[in-house]
Amino acid sequence: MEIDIMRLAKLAKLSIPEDKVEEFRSKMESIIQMVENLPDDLDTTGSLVDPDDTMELRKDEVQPSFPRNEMLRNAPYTAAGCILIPKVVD
Amino acid sequence: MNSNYEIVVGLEVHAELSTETKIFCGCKNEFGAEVNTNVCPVCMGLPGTLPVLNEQVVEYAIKMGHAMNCTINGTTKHDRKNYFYPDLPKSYQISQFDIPLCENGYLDVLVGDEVKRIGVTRIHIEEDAGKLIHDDSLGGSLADYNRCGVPLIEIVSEPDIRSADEAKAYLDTIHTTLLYLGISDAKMQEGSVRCDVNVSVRPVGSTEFGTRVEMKNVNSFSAAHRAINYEAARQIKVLENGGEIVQETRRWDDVKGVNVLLRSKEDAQDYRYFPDPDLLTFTVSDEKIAEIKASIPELPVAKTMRYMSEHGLSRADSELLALNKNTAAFFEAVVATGKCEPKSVSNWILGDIYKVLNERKCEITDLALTPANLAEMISLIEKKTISNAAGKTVLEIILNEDKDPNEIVKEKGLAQVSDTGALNAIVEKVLANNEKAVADFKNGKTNVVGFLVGQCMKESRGKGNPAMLKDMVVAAIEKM
Repeated sequence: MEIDIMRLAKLAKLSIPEDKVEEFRSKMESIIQMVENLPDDLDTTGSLVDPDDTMELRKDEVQPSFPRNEMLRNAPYTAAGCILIPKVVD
Repeated sequence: MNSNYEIVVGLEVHAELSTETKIFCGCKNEFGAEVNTNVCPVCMGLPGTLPVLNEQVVEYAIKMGHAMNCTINGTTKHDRKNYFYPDLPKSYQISQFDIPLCENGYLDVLVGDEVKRIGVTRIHIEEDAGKLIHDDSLGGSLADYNRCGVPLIEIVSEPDIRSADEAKAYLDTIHTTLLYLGISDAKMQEGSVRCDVNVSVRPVGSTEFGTRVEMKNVNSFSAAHRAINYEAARQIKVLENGGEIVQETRRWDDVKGVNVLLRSKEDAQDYRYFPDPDLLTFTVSDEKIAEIKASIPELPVAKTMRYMSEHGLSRADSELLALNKNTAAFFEAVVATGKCEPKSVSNWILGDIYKVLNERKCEITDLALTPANLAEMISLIEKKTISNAAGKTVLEIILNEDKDPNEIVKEKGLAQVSDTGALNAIVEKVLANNEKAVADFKNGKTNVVGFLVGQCMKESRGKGNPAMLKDMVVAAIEKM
């Protein structure tokens, strides 16, 4: 199986130096090989719903949100009550 | 538009649902709150948290599914849609991939006087992303996650739409349907309904689709109309010049009225959908699905058609009445009294009452006006107890006060004088005072009769029966 390691890197937002491409390619190949070796009797053709193991839904009732200063404590930079991030334009 | 080509449009509409809380956590679902105050570890995607699905979201989405004649999948699940963008703190959006909650439906819309059926591929539920505020003075962007986790339905149409007008009718119908069902506040200006537009063109008669181009940033339904016509014209020009359409995503700029390339097919996103391991399968029983179906009210297009056939109203008037749930209910309540003609009711609502609603920027239900009082007022006009002008005076009062129109007529002395004796005296007086007009009439200028009737009305202080006065004026002059 041909693996386009640069495309995977782009999708995962990873930067892989030119001289490491071959190394990552072979490692990724062995990971995929391992997955392909999983027993065939696992039925993965369906859509993976399991009506015998379902979840309970939640009532539409408001719970208190978290204090903003608490929520922003993880952020490296903040401004005006927001998380400050590198400029993005799309 | 070049008539050798046919436009083919498919639309993806996102609508925010008006639940109390977000889709996967108990944070408030509210527009316009102070930034980052309706957030918690779940909607901010902190590690170790688990989403729990809001049952109201499922119910609302099924309502829309029924309104759009879909099959409801009672056993379904969530999938992750993966992409990096800072408005999405988890780097994936919880959505639905291969088993949407609703699918294979259709929506009938009115285009001109024709009913057009537009296929609905699917409706699925997902979470909204946050908002980025771009600020050059800070050298970066500000992320506000209040909108993160607000429940959305995405409605995907079949490529059944053949013109910008059809697209507009489809979008308008979705908009009024959302409001009728009470599942979204559907405020375009607050971004609670948004759409992506797919456009292709093909030679008339061709059965194969052309290459489609997706347009983003279409922020209103009228913008969708402009964007479709622009893109179709652009594609036709390319083809006419021997070029080829390439599959790409373009960004609509409504101010400039043009679109620009956003990304080509090579840069197309690969979302790598997979089932969300944080959420299990969920089921909705057949009984529940049937119960929700039974709760769907008569929808705007059906109402429009019924007003036309049952009450003989015009297409335009029927649609205007049906457009707003409250106005439609009010109209029906007045008609149900059986006291007056539906056509008169429609005229009063769409005329004088609409003017007031526009001035006060309110709904008909915000007025003190009751269907019973309006019905009584109109019936007084139809019975010729009061004139149309007196009706307006009564309306002004009952708009603001729940008062019996009969009482108002009595108190204000608005009853029309239809007593021939009293009217005759007025006619004689007016004719005596307007010899010139009488002479003009005799010389063939019969349109002066309007002036003379006006004088009589003035003399009667608005209480004379104008139809009777007109006949009496003409008869009196002819006898002279």
